[in-house]
Amino acid sequence: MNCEKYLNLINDLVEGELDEQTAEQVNLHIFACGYCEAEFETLKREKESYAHFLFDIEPPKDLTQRFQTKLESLEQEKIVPPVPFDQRISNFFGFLPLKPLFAATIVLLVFGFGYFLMKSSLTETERPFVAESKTPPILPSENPKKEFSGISPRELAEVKNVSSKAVKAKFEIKPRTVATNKPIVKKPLIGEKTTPENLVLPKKVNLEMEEIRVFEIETAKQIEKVEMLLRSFRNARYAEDRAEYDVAYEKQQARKLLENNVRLRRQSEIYGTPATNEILSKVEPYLLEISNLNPTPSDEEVLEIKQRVRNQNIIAGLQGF
Amino acid sequence: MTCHASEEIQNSLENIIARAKSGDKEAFGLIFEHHHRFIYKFIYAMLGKHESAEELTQETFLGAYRGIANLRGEASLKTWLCGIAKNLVYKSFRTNRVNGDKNKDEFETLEFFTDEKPQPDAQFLNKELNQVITSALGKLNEDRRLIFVLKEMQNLSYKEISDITGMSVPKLKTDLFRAKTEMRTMLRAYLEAKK
Repeated sequence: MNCEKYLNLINDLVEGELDEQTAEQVNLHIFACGYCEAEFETLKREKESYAHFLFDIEPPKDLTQRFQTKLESLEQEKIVPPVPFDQRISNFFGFLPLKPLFAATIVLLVFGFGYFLMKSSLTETERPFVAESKTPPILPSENPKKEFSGISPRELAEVKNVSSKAVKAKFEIKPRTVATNKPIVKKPLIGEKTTPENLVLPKKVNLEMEEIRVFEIETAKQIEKVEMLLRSFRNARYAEDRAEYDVAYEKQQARKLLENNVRLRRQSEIYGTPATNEILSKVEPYLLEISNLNPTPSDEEVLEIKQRVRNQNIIAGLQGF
Repeated sequence: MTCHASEEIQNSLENIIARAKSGDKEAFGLIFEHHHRFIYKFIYAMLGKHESAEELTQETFLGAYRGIANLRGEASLKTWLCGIAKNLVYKSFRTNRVNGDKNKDEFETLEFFTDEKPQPDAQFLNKELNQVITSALGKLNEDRRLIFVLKEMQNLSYKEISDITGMSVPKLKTDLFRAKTEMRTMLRAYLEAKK
């Protein structure tokens, strides 16, 4: 090994990231090489200076006390009895000079519109998920098969054979149950009579709210992960010892995120959250393209995606979300 | 013996976390007591202001109190807290950008050091060095600053930093190398005077 190769190891040695055996090997080289010894001493001295920087920085002594007070007040806020539902409704419409009957009509209209959206989104779930990617489109390449070269056989099966039962079952989202006063009646089969067994009791509203809450948390986590991924991809540079971009990690992450993204986007259609749907649709093409990159992508391929990430300001959009 | 001692500490730590998860404020107080200095220093190094460090340290732990039930068994408490603090720091960066990028102004301005300028007096070297390090940190790109602070100042491992930032280890190394080079350029006069 020459000195150039040892320099990386010397850096890791100073950072305490080498195993015992390698550290011993590097130490032997440092002992024998004046140049590497000087580099090692410089790095060590710099690290000591930086480490010393925070020695004198101390939080104020009363910070613990102040935090305890804040925590207490947070607890008290929790203890405040919850506002009754009818009160909350009247507070919500408080800013409008509405009569209760008129307000109820508006609520019914909103629910009706939501139901209509849900119905229309259910028909859309029949389409293959790859075809649903909206903007920006995948650029045409010389070999069309190349677009899917990075995708696993399982995913290829999903793309090609979207009508297969397994794929349908995977991406099928059960419709949201709408709580009504009337029991829901199962549609009887031909020749079957309507019996009390066909009556299904409506699910509770609480369960529905819990589902939406879980969906919101999942979406927030997904957006955060995608943001980190795009940020990491945007900043991708050449690998240390090769003249090519090192995006293997980003590619692996994109594949993980893509599947989840499709699921969440479809859920967002059902829950009627257009803003969430829009942002998830916006990031999906990027995830698809990154996950489909070759194991050793050409500079042009990587730069093209990086450029688009920059130009379309997608990361800022995700941060805003 | 040592093994037993560390096992006991681990058990007690797990016990404290379990108690905090069930809403025990006293247990959470112990977590605050144990980790708040680390978090405060991290935020200070990232933002360069004591007021911001105080405020965001409290916010970090309030966020942790609300979300401790989500803490997974395998995640280290320190990296988890640091992750929350990092998100708040980045939120602060964004707010500063929206308000006209005051971020850079918050750090003291740094004179560009050249070899022609006189060397600083050894007597005040450490104090001055700390001041110029604060200023130089403010000039680093946000992601590089984060990695530099966590590695060089907080002494976390690459694995821990990767868990906090979500970046790959090779990328961390590249960014750290660049951050160190930039810092060396900005602090050359002081670092050489310290020899």
